[in-house]
Amino acid sequence: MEGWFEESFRELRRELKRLLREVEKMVEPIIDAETGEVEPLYEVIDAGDKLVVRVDMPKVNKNSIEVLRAGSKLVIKAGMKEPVRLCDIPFYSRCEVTGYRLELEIPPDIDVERIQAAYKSGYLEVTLPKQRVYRIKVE
Amino acid sequence: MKSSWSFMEVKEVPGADYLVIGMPDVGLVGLIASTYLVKNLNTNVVAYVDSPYLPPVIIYHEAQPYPVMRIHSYTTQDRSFLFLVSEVAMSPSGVYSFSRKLIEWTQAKDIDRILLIGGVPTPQRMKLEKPMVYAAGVTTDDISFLEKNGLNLFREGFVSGPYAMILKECYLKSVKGVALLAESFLNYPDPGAAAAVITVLNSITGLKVNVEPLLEQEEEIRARLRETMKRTMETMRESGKAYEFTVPAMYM
Repeated sequence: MEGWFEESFRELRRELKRLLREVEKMVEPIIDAETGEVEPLYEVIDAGDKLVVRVDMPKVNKNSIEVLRAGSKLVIKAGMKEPVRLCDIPFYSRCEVTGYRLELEIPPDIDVERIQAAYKSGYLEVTLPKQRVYRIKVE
Repeated sequence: MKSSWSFMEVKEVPGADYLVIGMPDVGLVGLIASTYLVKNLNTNVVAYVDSPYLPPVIIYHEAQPYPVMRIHSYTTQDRSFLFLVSEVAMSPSGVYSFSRKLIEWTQAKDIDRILLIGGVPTPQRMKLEKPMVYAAGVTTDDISFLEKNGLNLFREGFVSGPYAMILKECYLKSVKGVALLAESFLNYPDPGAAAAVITVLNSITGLKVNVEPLLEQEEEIRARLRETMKRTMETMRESGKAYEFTVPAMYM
């Protein structure tokens, strides 16, 4: 009896979490209707002495890629070679996907002067080296 | 006990040599590959799968409604195929009952072998021109079938999510089952890995599906499936996917 109750309670908790995530997603804009920009898929990998931001940006015109440091933010923008049209789907019928925009907070231990970026086969890799560790002599 | 899953046949479903299953998971490999297969082979929808565990959605394509989980049929001169395609990732709470019902249905339909098509994540995917496909078999018959076809056996490691439960159910009921898993991105749609899986499927089943158009459309597919990948990642986070990066103690 107790096992059944605990399992039902766990199931209820899972469902509430799922609903909460659904609500959070609903307030997150999928596409900027004005600019046609979407947030690309990305991941941040901690490679010890550096962070690597890998961004999936298919169909991009390489010359249009901009990687900017704006205050404490890393801003990545790129335009597509040609827009992705999903006109048959009502949600997208009155706009087209024309590019990507991603904004990420740069952690304080990053050496911003040495940030590098490379684009290959539709993937952008931004390398953010961490500041060097200096040994301080203890007297 | 009544199952929470129903297999509703809209046409007579014949027995088949192979039931090929493609679901959204790592790199959407299973979804991309199975959708490409059913489109290119001009298959017929013969059944739907329904359950309260599936989200309350229906798909419209060319003004026709389609449930999100469908079974397609295709026959060549000497082989018969069923394809189970799911457009949505399955919530972990429904996976167990689904696997049980699927295997019951497979046995009732006298299907010879289940082939699960999907991906296995690798951090080196970006550097790989041609992803390798691993084959995980269940029965001794499966292992000799895979060895005879010269496939790379999945020898060590965890498989997680719906495919893991289906393989487990195959193991418990001695049903022939194989998972073909191409090295893929974890969280980006990966048409290249889907093409690799189809190439192996061609070689072991006698299908002749040309993957060139799939590779040519790679960037377009990646751009279009961005949202589907996001939704799938949310489900994957709950389904023990992290186990696939874990070294099992048996490997010590």
